[in-house]
Amino acid sequence: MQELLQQVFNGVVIGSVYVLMAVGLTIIFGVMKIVNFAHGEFYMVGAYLAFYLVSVAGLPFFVALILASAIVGLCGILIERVIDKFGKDMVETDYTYFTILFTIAVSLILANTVNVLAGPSQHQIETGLSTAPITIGPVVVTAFKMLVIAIAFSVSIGFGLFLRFSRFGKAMRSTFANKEAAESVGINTTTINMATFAIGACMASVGGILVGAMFNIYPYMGSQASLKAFAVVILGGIGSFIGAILGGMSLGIIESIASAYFDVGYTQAISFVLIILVLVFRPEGIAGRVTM
Amino acid sequence: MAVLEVSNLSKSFGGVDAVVDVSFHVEERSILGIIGPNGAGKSTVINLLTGLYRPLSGKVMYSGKDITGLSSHSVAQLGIGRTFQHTTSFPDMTALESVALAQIYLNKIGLWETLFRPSKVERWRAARLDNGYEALELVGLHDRANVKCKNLPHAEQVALDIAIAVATGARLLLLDEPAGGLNTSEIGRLMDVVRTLQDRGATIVMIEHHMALVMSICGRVVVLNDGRKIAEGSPKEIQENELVIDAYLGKDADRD
Amino acid sequence: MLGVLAVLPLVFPNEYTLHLFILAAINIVFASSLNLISGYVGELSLGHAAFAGLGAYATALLTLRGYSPWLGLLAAVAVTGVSAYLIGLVVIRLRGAYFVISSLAFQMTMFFIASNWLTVTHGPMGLLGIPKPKLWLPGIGSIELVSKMDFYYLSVIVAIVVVIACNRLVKAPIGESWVAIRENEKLSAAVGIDRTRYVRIAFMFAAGFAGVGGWLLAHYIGVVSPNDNMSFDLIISFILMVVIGGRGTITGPIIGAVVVTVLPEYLRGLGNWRLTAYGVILALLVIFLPRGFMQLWEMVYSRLHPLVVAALPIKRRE
Repeated sequence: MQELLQQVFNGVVIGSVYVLMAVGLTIIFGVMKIVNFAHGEFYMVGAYLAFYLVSVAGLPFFVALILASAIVGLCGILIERVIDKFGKDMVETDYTYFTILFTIAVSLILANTVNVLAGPSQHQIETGLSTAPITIGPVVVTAFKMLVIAIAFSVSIGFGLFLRFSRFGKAMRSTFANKEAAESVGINTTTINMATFAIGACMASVGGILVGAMFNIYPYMGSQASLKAFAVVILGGIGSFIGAILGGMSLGIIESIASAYFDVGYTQAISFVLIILVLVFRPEGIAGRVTM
Repeated sequence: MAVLEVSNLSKSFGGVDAVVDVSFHVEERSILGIIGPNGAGKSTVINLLTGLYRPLSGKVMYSGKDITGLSSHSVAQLGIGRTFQHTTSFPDMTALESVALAQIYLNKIGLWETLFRPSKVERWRAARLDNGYEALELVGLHDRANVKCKNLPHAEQVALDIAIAVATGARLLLLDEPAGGLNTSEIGRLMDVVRTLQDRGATIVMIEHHMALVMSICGRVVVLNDGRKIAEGSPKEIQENELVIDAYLGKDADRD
Repeated sequence: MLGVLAVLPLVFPNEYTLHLFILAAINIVFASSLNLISGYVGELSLGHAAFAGLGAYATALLTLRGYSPWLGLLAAVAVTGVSAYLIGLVVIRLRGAYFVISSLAFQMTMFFIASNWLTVTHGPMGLLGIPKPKLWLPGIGSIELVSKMDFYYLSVIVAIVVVIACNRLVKAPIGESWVAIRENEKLSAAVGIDRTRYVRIAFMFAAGFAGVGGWLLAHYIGVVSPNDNMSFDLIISFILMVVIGGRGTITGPIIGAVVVTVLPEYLRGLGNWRLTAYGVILALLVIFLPRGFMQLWEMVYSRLHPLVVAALPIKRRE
């Protein structure tokens, strides 16, 4: 039983990162209809930036976290601008092709460039926190893991509150629901689009940095992360914030429990098996309401 | 003899009633008009008949056959053709190519012929182009045969959509607001085309906003409001029907 | 044309050039097949490498147990065709981004199985020692197609057959239906075209031909492994082929295949930056030349021959 609780806790830790990734991906798809294949690369680039800021520039972890994510956010805006400029007048099928292939291209460029510049070896981001295990009840944790949950949740929930209660957040939700309607009431969808992509990229970056501090970073960590993010978004339901949270937690916990019984390699398969199962039996996911 | 019988058709979207208990029938070789204020559910009815939506309840009989809830392509293959409100047909095909395409389902050229009898495939294609040309002549587009659909001005687009529906060999044609965006002379030509179709044996159901058009060529008119049928009868009867007048005036009043 | 192809290996007997020709022919098979579903029907499939790999593994498993490579060819087509049917039951009703993601999930599942089902596939090590096909010619007896020259002729003939088949499919009502579905799905249904049926046909043919390509590759290289036959890199190159050449045309994929085959040669100087270069090329292509080389060709052609286009004889019955 204790073993199970431990696995659940570990699942919650990694699940909270999945939630971050999934929320970013889902808002990008929901607001702009872009399937962002480069999402994992935002995660990876953020992690590498933070690593260099900490180990080379000597910045404290939290400063690096914020700075790196801000930079990635700006990159996100840049990419969004390019997509908007060239994709604006395309027909829907062309647009789908364009955004998918373009983001695949971006992910290729980013992953390969980092691989060449930084080398394939793995690193870990220093946090300056003690890694001594702390026992809370039946579960053994570390200070940092608790922090991961705290950061990931506060960012996700903070964003959720922002969506619900702030004026900008409401504007975002309107654009999400119906772009033309939002424009006709005077919402500047261009700003919304830029902000959405920036926030999504930022959140991915935070996720990458947290994982990079917990485990390690390597140039192709992005593709794994992308797949997990897609799995969570499909599981939770595209366009659903609650779905992203439920889905992210579920995937994290399921993987964690499974890792106790199966090889690490097989737990990775859970993501894509899940995608296929969901698409077969309940395409709208746990909480989604989007029809195809 | 009723070619189309719609009984108690209903549909709602996420709790909002779009079509409620609508029934009507269409006599063979007649022209039925469906009118009603915006949002009355007219297009929804057509979409329900042609398989774009599944009805919540109700029945649709076509020439004695139950076609309720059949998919779009099945409905089309049974001989029901339709036009859409906003379409650019098949943008990169020429007008002639699109009316040729509309006949594809008529001869199921199988995989065997496709792979091993290209000359037969080519002959079928030539035959479709010939027939397609006739359909274009019917709507007056024979000299625009080689123009790409996306380059056709709106009035010709509408004519092409009708030609496409006709080319499928459909005996029942459902036209969704064909007069939208047409000027007076174009509407006149539209009337001629519809009458010609009727002469050639087709049955036509037309959703329209253009009252003069409806009143002059429709034999009977059905009026919808808020998803319900509120009146049915000859054009003259409808014009004098109080409920109908209220429905339209009511909507106008709301807009102030 | 045929004459040129027949004589080519005699003009360039260089082993390496022959190798490129063979790869180009195999890539033409891959590109033309992907084009059916991703060019004509218009649904971007990221799972194509999985079918290519399935074909390769199918023939490898059979021929390593002593069966004829020709049986392997049948098996490759059968396996890919059936899998495409089954997968299709799930993915064909999806569109756009959903189709893409599910095809990717299928791709990764297959890659995963190939890498981990050690007893059957030997995992990343792969299966080695795949025999070459034998041909029985009257008067000569059975010859094994061992030399590059032999394989060149085999792969070119196969490529020609596949291209002709695709061409016939495209020119037939089947192909017209694909284009109609792509251009205006609602209208295509309204004229009686059953989308599910036609997309399934495209998907199965695409998979089947990909299996044929996989068969060729397996017997040419003699080794199958997840990284050689169904990696993500392979999908990228497939997509590049279709995008460079021009999706939705017959010649497009051929051009794209040839370009992608020789591209590594020109990019060799970039060393490790190769993949980045691919990414940049892909990005520039989808922005400026989304319909590939054929778009370029069309732009040139239509400038030069505007009158030809307008004066096409109108077919009419006299």
